Amino acid sequence: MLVGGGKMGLSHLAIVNSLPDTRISCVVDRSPFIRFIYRRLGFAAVKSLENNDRVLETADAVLIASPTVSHYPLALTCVQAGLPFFVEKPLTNNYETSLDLANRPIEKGIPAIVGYVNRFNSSFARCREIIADGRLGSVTKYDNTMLGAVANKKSVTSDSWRFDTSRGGGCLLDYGPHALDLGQYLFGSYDQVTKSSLQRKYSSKADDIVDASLVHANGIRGDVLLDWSRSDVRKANNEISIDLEGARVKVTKELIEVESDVEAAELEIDRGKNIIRPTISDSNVFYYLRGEEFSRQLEYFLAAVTQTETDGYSAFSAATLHDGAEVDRIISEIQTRSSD
Amino acid sequence: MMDRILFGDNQFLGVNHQDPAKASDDLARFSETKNILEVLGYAYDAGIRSFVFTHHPRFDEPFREIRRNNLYPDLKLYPCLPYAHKYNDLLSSEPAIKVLFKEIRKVRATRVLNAARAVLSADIWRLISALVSAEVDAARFPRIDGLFLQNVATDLALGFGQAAGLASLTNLLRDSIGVELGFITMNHGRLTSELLEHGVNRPLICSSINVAGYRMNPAKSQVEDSIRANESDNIAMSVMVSGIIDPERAVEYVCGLRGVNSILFGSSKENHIRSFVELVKKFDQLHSH
Repeated sequence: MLVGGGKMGLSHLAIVNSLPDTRISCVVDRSPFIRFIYRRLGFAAVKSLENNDRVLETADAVLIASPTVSHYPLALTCVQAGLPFFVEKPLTNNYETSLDLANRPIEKGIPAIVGYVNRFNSSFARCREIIADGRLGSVTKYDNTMLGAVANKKSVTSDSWRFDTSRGGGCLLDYGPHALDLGQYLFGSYDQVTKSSLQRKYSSKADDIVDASLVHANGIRGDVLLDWSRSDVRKANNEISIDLEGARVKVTKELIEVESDVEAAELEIDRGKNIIRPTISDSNVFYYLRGEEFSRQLEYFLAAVTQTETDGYSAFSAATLHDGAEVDRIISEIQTRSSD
Repeated sequence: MMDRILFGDNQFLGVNHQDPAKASDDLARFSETKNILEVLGYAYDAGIRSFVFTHHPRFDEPFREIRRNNLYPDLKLYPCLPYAHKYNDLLSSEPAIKVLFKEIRKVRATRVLNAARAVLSADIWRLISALVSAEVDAARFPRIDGLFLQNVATDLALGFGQAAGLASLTNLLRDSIGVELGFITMNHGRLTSELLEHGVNRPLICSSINVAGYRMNPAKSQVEDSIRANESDNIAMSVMVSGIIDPERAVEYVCGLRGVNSILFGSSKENHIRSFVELVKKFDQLHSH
């Protein structure tokens, strides 16, 4: 079952519907127009889950791709019904409610994952393995940046919620979850935010640039820069530069660059400059829509639901509800610290 | 039948799946019309007579110049629609129904009847056909020799189980604009078999085909089988995977794969364009013997 037939919902439905033996049983969306379209395309559609127990009963799993404010009640319904669910990021945008979800007992073996899709990109996943391997030494510090071209003089004049913090917009809430989850995925859980500033460039009701310093539970320190007002970037991209004791590493969605002081044959890394492109060698997915990672995360989720063996996914690990709650905690710390 | 070599536009739009720095440089360089026209000139001088491009505001000005000065008179134009980022941006900030009505209002007077019929009948594929026609009318391309549906759109429809809709779209657009519709896809096998099932005779399909197997889903061997089956007209793209694969090796593979009718490639360098054309000639000759 899919809740939320908007942009992400479209994408999830097309992918899930293309996997073997998987069908979307019902689409839940508040908009009559969206429901109408789905029905025309041959899918059952209902307005809400309230008083619709049958819809829940017939579903084996739930994909939640509705606006963030609705994530908490929907996820809670799934937890209480013992239904596997996949919820889009961010988990709830509110640390207390996210923590409440994460702390609820979930029966063992029932998957509940948050849609932090970068974890299913093979370049980031491989980078995580390289760091964890230890042959290049411990991480001393890192820079985690995400740049994009969402805000400009023209776009911010629209009345869209995207440029209004009070309605869930702004660069921190938009880019923050992606970048901050990558940070904990690569370097372990966070301890706290030590410094932060939110700046405006074009928007009058939202932040356009976020600058923060963080420290992880294991003592690793990193700086985060988020800027969605860059005209020189076509598509938003994440880039993380990492200083290790024995190497400098730069990772993007496309590739990993390693400048190594040591030779690590097991990692296929030579002394000097290395370029690793994991996205070329293992790019194939069962059904491709808009990036391998989007297909892979749903293949992974559904394999977990049906408890199918997934030898292809050993390198990947989805974000848990606790991971989702951690991102929400750090975002709120960045907000609080910047207003100090 | 499409030409053997088609010129693509990734360099002009700053798209490079492997090298973000080059993408960023290209994005800046080709914000200037004269730089786009210059590179199109390299391709034309190298004997290329087809340009396959994304419908994007960046090409408005170069196309005005082409029309005004009758540049590259034999260059056939194949736009790829819709410009996905435009819809993506619109849908990020406005409800779908608002976007739909805003776009459908752009339809030309002669097509009002078709559009009204589409809205009234709530036939999604008539509606999409009306939107595509409106987009083509508004764009005022210097000429139009064919049309491609972007892979996100094709594969979204396919995922929704709408192969019949895609098949009907080829007929609707042949009637309204008078050109053949081709499909860009990342799922060659599945699309081909479903289009055939719905009565499209030799569908025109453009997909990633390269020696590395990059974006050949679900597996390189399955895409090769689908191409060799010779039931579709096939255009190979990403043959060098954004320049990662040595051109000689890339071209040898794609020219050697029976069933590949055309090769789509883009470059911003005159010598690269020339040598690519030469390589294709060389390997085609080799395989014709």
